Amino acid sequence: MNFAIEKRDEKKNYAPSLLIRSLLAIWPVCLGYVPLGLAMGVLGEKAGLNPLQVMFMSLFVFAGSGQFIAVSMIAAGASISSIIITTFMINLRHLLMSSSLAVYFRGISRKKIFLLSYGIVDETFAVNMDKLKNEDWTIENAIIVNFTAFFTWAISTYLGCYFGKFIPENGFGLDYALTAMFISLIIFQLNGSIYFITAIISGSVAVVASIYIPGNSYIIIASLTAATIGVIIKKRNKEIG
Amino acid sequence: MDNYSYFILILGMGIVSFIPRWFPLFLLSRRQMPELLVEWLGLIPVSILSALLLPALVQKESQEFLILFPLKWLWLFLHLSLPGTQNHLEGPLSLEWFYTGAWDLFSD
Repeated sequence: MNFAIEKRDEKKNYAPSLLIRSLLAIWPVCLGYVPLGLAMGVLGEKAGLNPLQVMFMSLFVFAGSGQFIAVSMIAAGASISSIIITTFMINLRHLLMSSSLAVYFRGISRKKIFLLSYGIVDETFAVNMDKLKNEDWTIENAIIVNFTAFFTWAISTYLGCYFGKFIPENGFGLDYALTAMFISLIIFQLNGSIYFITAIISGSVAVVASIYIPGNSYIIIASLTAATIGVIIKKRNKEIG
Repeated sequence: MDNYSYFILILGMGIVSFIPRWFPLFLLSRRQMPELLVEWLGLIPVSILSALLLPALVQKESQEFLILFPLKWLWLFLHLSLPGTQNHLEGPLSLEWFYTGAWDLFSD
């Protein structure tokens, strides 16, 4: 009897459900996606696309910067192959994100891996990494996070294109929401001096490289360089200590 | 652009976006990774986030918003809270400077 009551109480005090926890983690990203998505839709409308075309691009591709560039290339009359190659180059950075997520998702079914992969973008990666590192976070949580951001993005781009004529560019002033979120997420990633050193190296290399290298390959270059230097420093310190 | 070629375009874009996201997870989640690779991958998230963030921060508009704007609020606070400073300052230290600056940020 006593045992039964205890068990019930335990259930009552149990942390918020899987869905609620995931939604709580991702809502700030969605808040930032709405103005971005609207802006993307407006651009699409200016490039001569209709709302359904814009939404299907979001559903097929799900890549903020990639879509912005693709739409401006469409407007400029670029060829299909050149747009696809550019998209590939821009989204190549997700290779690294996918690799580092693999450390946490060992031996998970192929179907779930497939679902999770579909929604890996900068923002969902940042949120999931923060959660994976600091609390109990399953692949289901990560999938919900990714798809919530995904549908918010797709719907926002549709609405942006639909109401494109009435929306001024940067009319919402929320452009900095995602930057602000990245700052807070990066702080939660700094769990030791080696992470701090790596972040400083990566940021500095990225700033310098972004000036001299066109496109966004500086992200990959900076990350690879910083992580490699970080591992070397870690190894050296271990050998000395 | 007609609907058919548009479909080919977004299909192609979708495939080249998906493969870099899926392939490493597919490959690496099924096998034992060497210790050094795991350590290296552990440093990748903070590197990527930092590489995404810092160049964005040093752009001019972001500087204005993230550095200048809080400074102005801090100045306003000091301005109104320190005794004797309210009415005597001119030029870049005056209240007008704050108001015109704030207006510039919101009216572009």
